[in-house]
Formats: sequence, C-alpha cells, structure tokens
Amino acid sequence: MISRPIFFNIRSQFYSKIHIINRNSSYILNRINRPLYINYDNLISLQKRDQSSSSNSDKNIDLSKFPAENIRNFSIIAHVDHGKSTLADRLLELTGTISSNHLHQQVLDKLTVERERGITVKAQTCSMFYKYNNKNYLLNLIDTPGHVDFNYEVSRSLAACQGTILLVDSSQGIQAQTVANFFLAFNEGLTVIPVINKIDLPTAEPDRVINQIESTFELDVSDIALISAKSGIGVDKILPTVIEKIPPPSGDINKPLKAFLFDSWYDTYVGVVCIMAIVDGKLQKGDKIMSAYSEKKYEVVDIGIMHPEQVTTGYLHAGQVGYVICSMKVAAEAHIGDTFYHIKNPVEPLPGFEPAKSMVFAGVFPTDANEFNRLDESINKLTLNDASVSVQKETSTALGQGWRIGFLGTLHMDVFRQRLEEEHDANIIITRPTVPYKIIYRDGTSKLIRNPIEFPDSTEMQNKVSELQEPIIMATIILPEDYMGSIMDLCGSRRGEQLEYNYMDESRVMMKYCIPLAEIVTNFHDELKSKSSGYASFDYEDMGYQTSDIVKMNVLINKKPVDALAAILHQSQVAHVGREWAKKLSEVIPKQLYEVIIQTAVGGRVIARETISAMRKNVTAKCYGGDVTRKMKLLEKQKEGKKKMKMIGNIELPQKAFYDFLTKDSSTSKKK
Amino acid sequence: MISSCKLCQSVSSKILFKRNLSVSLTALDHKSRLLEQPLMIYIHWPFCKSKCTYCNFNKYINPKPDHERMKNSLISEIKDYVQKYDMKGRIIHSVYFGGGTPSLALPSTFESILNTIANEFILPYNTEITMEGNPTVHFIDSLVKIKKIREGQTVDDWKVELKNALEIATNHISLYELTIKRGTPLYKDFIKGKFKKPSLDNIADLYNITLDITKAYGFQQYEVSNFQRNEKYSKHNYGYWSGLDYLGIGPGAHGRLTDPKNKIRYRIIRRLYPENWMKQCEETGEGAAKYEQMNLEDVKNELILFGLRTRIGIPRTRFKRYSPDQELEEYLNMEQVNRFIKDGFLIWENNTIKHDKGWILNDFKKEIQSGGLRPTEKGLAVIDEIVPRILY
Repeated sequence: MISRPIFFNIRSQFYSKIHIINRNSSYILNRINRPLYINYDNLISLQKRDQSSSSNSDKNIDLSKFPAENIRNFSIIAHVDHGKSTLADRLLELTGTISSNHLHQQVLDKLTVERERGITVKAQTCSMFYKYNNKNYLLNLIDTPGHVDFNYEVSRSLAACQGTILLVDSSQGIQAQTVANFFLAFNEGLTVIPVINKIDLPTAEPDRVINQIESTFELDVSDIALISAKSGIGVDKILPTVIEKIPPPSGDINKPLKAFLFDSWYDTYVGVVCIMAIVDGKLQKGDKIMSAYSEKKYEVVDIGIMHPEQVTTGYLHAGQVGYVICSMKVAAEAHIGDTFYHIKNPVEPLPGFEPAKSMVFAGVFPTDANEFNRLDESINKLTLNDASVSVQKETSTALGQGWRIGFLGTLHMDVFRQRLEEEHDANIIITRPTVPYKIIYRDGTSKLIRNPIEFPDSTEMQNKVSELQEPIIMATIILPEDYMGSIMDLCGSRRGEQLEYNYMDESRVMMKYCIPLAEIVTNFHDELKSKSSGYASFDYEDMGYQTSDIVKMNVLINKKPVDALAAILHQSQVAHVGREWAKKLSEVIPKQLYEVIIQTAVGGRVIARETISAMRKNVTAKCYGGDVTRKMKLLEKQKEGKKKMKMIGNIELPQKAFYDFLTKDSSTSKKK
Repeated sequence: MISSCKLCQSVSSKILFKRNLSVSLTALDHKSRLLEQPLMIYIHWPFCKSKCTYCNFNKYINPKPDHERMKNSLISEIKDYVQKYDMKGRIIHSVYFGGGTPSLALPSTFESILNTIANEFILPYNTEITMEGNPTVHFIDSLVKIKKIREGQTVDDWKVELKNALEIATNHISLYELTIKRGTPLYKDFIKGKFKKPSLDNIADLYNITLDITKAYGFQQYEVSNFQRNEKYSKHNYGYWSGLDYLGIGPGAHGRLTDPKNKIRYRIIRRLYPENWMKQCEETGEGAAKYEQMNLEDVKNELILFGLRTRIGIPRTRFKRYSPDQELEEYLNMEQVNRFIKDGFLIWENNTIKHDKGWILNDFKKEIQSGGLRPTEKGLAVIDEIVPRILY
C-alpha cells in the first residue's frame, strides 16, 4: 500500500527542482524491517473484527462540535528508528484513543500480528480528542505508515498538515532523513516543532543534538521538549505545544466542498478506502461527489474518522480529516492529490501531486516459463495497491517472456521482489537495474530509455543522436568526521562531485554530493554503510539530467549476445566492469558439454574474455539393481532443472547462473 | 582420485578395494523349460566384520548374526515370491549373493538357498552364480604394494595401481571412480577437509588412462565401469542393464518384477533393518517395505538410463518389449538426440547395432537386430549430462 505515487512539487522554494525518489539509508541493511508495506488486507480484516465486536457503536461522535479553530492537523517526521511510532502510540494512549485496558491490548495484538509479518506498524491517520484549557480539540495525527521509506509518503502527509513534530534521537542526532524531512516541511511552510527523544538512554547527548538542530535548521530551541516516548517522560508536554504553536486549518465550512485526497488503500470488502482532508465545506454520507482529476462521479457510502480504526460519523467538515468510502473499485481510481467537490458545485482544484516517476527499471522474468501466467496475475495483484510500479511486457531472447518494471528506487525493487517471492511464491530473475537515460536527437527531440535494448546502435548514434544524458542526484550524507576520508573516496569512485560540506557540530559532518543515479542504484547504500561502520546516513534528491559519456556493454556467450545481461555504463567503468563481469560469469556458469567463451564487448571492441573448457566426464560410477531407484530420483530432478535452463546457442544457462550473477553481486563499479 | 575396484573371480583387498570377490560356483543342472525372459536373483547378506570407509550399503557390524533365522527368512521370501507370482519354473539368468559380506554366511546357508532356487526355478548349466567376498590373508601380499601408493593418488600412481590390479585380475574387472557417499566415514573425513576431491579435469584424465591401460591388457569396456576380456562378462550385472527382471531377497534388497498376468512392472524394496525384516518374514513370509506399481514412464526411463551406460546402448527391440505404446524414437526427444548425434555423443543405428567384440553378451544378440541408440566413447563419459536432455 505504501507506494502510491506522490511527488510534491507545488511550493518548493528551498530546492527549486526537488524530486525525491527514495529515502531509506538504513533500511537497505536492516532487513528485519522489510517488507515495509502495510498489508492492508490483513489490517482491514482485523478492523472488521473490531468493528463487529466492540467499540464502534459506542462511539457517538458529533463532529459538528469541532470547528476548524478547535482542530490541529499535524504529523511526526523522523529518521528511521528515532521513535516515531512509539511517540504516536503514547499520544494515542494519552488521549484515550487507545486505552490502557482491553482495547489497548487488542490494538497491540493487532500490531504484533503485523510485526510478525514483518510489517511496520503504525496507524496511518488517526483522530484524537483532547481537552486543553477547558476546550475540546480534535487532533489529527497524520502519520505515514511506520517507516518513511519513500519521500512522497512524507510529502503526502505534510500536504494535509499545518505543522509537524521533528523527532530526533538524542544519541544519534540529526541524520540524513531528518534533514530531508525538515526541508520538506519547511518548504511547505509548516510549523516545525523539534523534539528530542530517548533522553533516558545512557548514550543520550541532548545538548549536542540541540546544538545541531539550532545550527542546521535555525530553529528556536529555547523551550525544546526533551522526552522519552518509550518511558513516557515529557510526552505530556507535546500536545499542549501542538495546540499552541500549530495554527488551525484555515478552511471555511460555508464554502462549497473542497476535499483533498491524500491517502488510500484497497479493502477486499468495501473497495477503495480514501483518506481525505476537507479543506472547505462539508461532506456527508449520501453526497454525490466528483473527482477533479478524472471527472468520475461517486456517491459517499460511508464516512468517518480513524479513531484508531474506521469510526462512522456520517459527516466531515472543513478542517477535518477522515476516511471516505465511495465505491471506487480499483486503487488507481484514488488519484493521490486529487480534489473532490459536490457534483453541482465545481471548485478550483488544489495543485495536487505529480506522480512519482519510476527511476529504476529492471526486467523481471519467471525462472520457469510455464509460470508466466501465474506470475502475471501476481504482479497485477501487487500493482493493484502499488500504483507507483510501472509495468510493461518484455521479451528477452535469453530469459523469455517477462516484464520491464519501473520502481521508485532499489529498496522499492527489493520489497517488490520479496513480496512476489514470499506472498506469491514466485521464482523470479530480476535483471540489473537500469536508470532512465535520455537520448537527445539532433532534431531537438528526446527519448527516455529504460532498457539497454533501446540503446541506439552505432548507425543511429552517428546519424541522429546529438548527445546522451544520464540522471543525476544530489546526495546528502551525514557522518562522523572520522569516516570522511573513506566516504569521500567512495563518492569519488562513484563519479561523485562534492558540492559542499558543513560541520553540524564538532564531530559530525554533512556532505552534499552530486552523483549519477546509476551509481546509487548499484550497491551504494551497502558500501556507504560498510565503509562508515554503519554510522553514515544518506538521502538523495533528483537533480535532473546531465550529458554523459555512456555506452552499451554487451555480454556474449559463444559470440551470441545475451540481451538480459547487457548494461548501459559510463565509459570510465567499461574496462573494469567488463573484466569483472566476464570473470564472475565464468564462475557462475557450470561446465557444459561444449566449450563456453564469455566476452564482454562495447560495439565490436572486446573488453574481456573468459573460457570454460568443455566437460569431459560426468557419469555415475556404479549403477546396479538398487542404485537405479536413486538414480531415477536424480533424473527427475535433472529433468526439472533442465526446464529452468535458458539456451544461448547450444550453451545452457541455468537460471541459477543468471540469479547468482544478477543477485549476489549487484555492484557494477566495485573498486579495485 | 582414490579408486577402488572389484575383481571378479579374483581377489581384492578389503582395505583398498570397494568390494569384493566374486566366486563362480558350479551351476546346478536342471531340466529346461524356457520362458522368454530369464530372471535374476539378488540375495543380500547384510553383515560385515568391519566397516569400509566408502561403503554406504545396507550393512551392519555383527560378529554373531543368527544364521538360522537369516537362512529361513531368505528362503521364505523366495518361496513367497514364486507362489504369489506363479513363477515356478522360470529360467534363472544369474544368482548374486551381495552384501554386506555374504562370504561370512555359513556354507549350509548357500546350500539351502541354492537348493530352494533349484527346486522352484530352472537353473540352466550356464547360470552365473556370484558371491561377493573380502580378501583373505593369502592374497593380501600381492596387494600390499598397491596400498603403499594410494595416499594422495596422482595420475601416475593410478597407472601403477591399475597395472598391478590388472596383473592379478583374471578376465573381468570393475573400476569405479570413487564416489563419496553421505553418511560414510569417508564422507565425514571429506567434510572435515582431511582430503580433497580431485578436479573435474583430473577425474577425466584418470578415466581416460583407465580406458587406455585396460585396452593394453586386452580388456574391453562394455559398461561405464566394467571391463572384460575373453567374453567373460558379469552376466548378472549385464542383466540389470538389459532390463531383466530381478528378484531382490534379503534386508534392503531391491527388485523389479513384471507380473506375467497384467504385464505391469513392480518395484519392490525390502525392509532395511535385518531384525525388522526377519520378523516380518517370520510373520508373513516376506519382508517388503515397499511394493509399488511402476508407471510406464519410469520403466522406460530405467531402460534408457541403464542401456545408455553400456557400449551397446539401448536396442529398439528391448525398449518396445516394455513399451507397448511407443517406439524408442517416439519416446525420446529426437531433436535433442539429433543434436547429440551431430556433436559426436550418440549414434543412432537403424539396422543391427554395430559393435566391437566384447560389447555384448551372447544371450542378448537377438535384440540388437532392429537398431537402437548407443553412446560414443565420448558420449559414454558424459552420459549423465545427456540422458536428462533426451527425455521429455
């Protein structure tokens, strides 16, 4: 559910061209946290149970008692593991949204189930009621599900907020995502409330972190909250601060309805559930509304707030945030950033979001061609709830029928792969990821290519192409100064250009690099983590395209090109990668009945060559009356294995060879 | 390569060689009543005095097995079979006492078993009767020099060892590439890193040298690991490869039997543990752990798998005997077969399968007249790669 396309480009001031693709520095290594998608099927079924059994009917909530001035819409933003979910839990408890008795247990149980499934926990959007200075407030915590893995999720939740809590771990201090999230919120014009968490840890250094916040974000830290969400220390000061510092939403209940769709998921029973912020007017059950994006008409069949599950109120008015069910059949109908209005009262739509662009493309193929149809269904099911994945059929001579799938980043790709394998029992091969390169033609037109197959041949290059461009990003890396040298080396070897560096305090440094995206999608995270003993955090933002000396490298097996192994590389990488690939392939391709010659080549120029000599002997020594039974079992296995072979000429490549080659070493430019 | 060999009608060192000594006993004379397909009998004696490092057979170190119970159980299984399948009077192609160490059984046990077989079946004068054995003291001397050179065997070591073995061999020798089987002491040593497996190229060199040297001594390879001269084949083993039915008697023994009534082939596996097996024999007359109909595809695949391990290959006639619905060329993936023919791994014969002297046992000469598929020398060496590819 997590990956709906969101790109927030409306009021960006700080970086004019910000397009953040992927922010997930530490997730890549921290596999325990994956998959990062909330499984809403699971969640919803639990909600159903809750609704049928208990509290829903007891909650007679009259939302008309909460005018906009008594509403605060806010979010929590933080680097991963800085305690966002725990703080959200505490706030829900504090407001009695989840109580400390029976119901609370149920919620925790539910979370446990999800945790067991490897899903990150937190509630999405949750409404809380809170009494402060004798006034009743409706506080909407607009939280993205658990970890903020993809930046557009942050953008989405921020769009419906007027303020945000910037939560920082008091031992770890500011990390790359903290910075990125802060600037997103800052550019939105949101009120940012810094909060220091985990102050009861022995390693806590709140003073140092306060200094970092002051120097990096220029925020007022005079009355900064020091809390421990885990033990509850200082948490009671949060909500009063939210109410006092964050402005109420500015909507007008008397204006025509203007509702902003910023989240949705698919529920097997009721179809699409939308989360909307009512900007102006009011929306109630039975209303007929229209999408400004698609101009499709819908009727509201259920409406209410998340408290923490769906609680019907029959009504939402300006400033309020809640769920709307209006008979949408597929997730794609819920266009994130869409504006809805009453059919007879069209309004000027809000600027909305630009869908996130896929920035990493890879071929996905079944290991067994017979699995194509089943896998096709599985991919359809997964994309039903993940509109950020772009899918196109593709045929490879080496790997057969498959798909070219576009992802937001390599983590997204990893998660998609894992979900296919684990939830759909799929056996797949994913080719090396390719970023979208741009071909600029002499006639002024341009084309994006997402597959090495589309790379122009030499004739086209000579006659039509004026230049080739590759996407570049700006990387923000925060790390202890001790690791600066090795990380600068890493970035340098990845064709990175340093833009700036700043000491955030005496020992922590923030570096900014301009690096080709292609270098980031190939193992960069892993190397960054290993070269900094895990201390460096990393985030990146799109910086468009730049001219680049890129070429297509082919892999030939007995002179036949293997399309699935072709790659687009920078000229400077060719010699090294060419040698490495040929060698690696010679290690993963098993001996054959025929000699195997592996070559890597650019155009007609061979970069490297490896040979695997022909197999001379493979015959079982003993085969008599009792041996044959065992031999037959082996034979069946061999026959199965043979089905998974891909023929290149008379050379058989087991899928495992592709898999080993493509999976075990995903770095194209490992150094030395 | 550490290799081991089996010296038929000769000797083999317990320490050096896999196993075992086979002794031809005088065949018992009998009236003849020919059935089309002769039958083979395998009898398993599961006990040994000591464990061989490479052995993963069904064997138990037991200095004092209950000979009487073993004998009675073995005999009851033979009789049970005859009765159940109405096989009285079938011609016996060969009898094979394997193990374990069958030479440790009492002479009276052999006598009773052979008498039972003679009474229930027909034992023609040329029936081969084999017993595996382990070397005794008096021929160990001649093998001592082989033992000395065995550690860290090189190609040259193997040349010397093989020549020595051939000097004392009579007319048949089986030479196996040592296979490290799970669960054996050898396997454990291998896992511990006490020795390394030779490289694939090294193994291929040893195999080629084996072919050269045996040839120089007048031996002809007729199956992957079996060599003979003067037409002295192992009839029993030849029978397996030619698709004869075999009756497996004794703990863990395997059998293949075609029911004469419905022509369905059965796969029978006896219970593994001697005590359990004997107990079942005493209670029910036989000790089968598994008794199942083979599907036709398995029957066909076994014939092809066995056949292509021999130089003569798989004759079309033999295949058709078990395959009422398909000719050999209809069953095989001929596109693949033709590729392997083109590349020099296989040869398809339309008429009588061409063969060198010493490839084929006389009894089977009839079945090669309508052609078939055979491996080349190069093909035989890699037949495990080829078989799975020519089957659908």
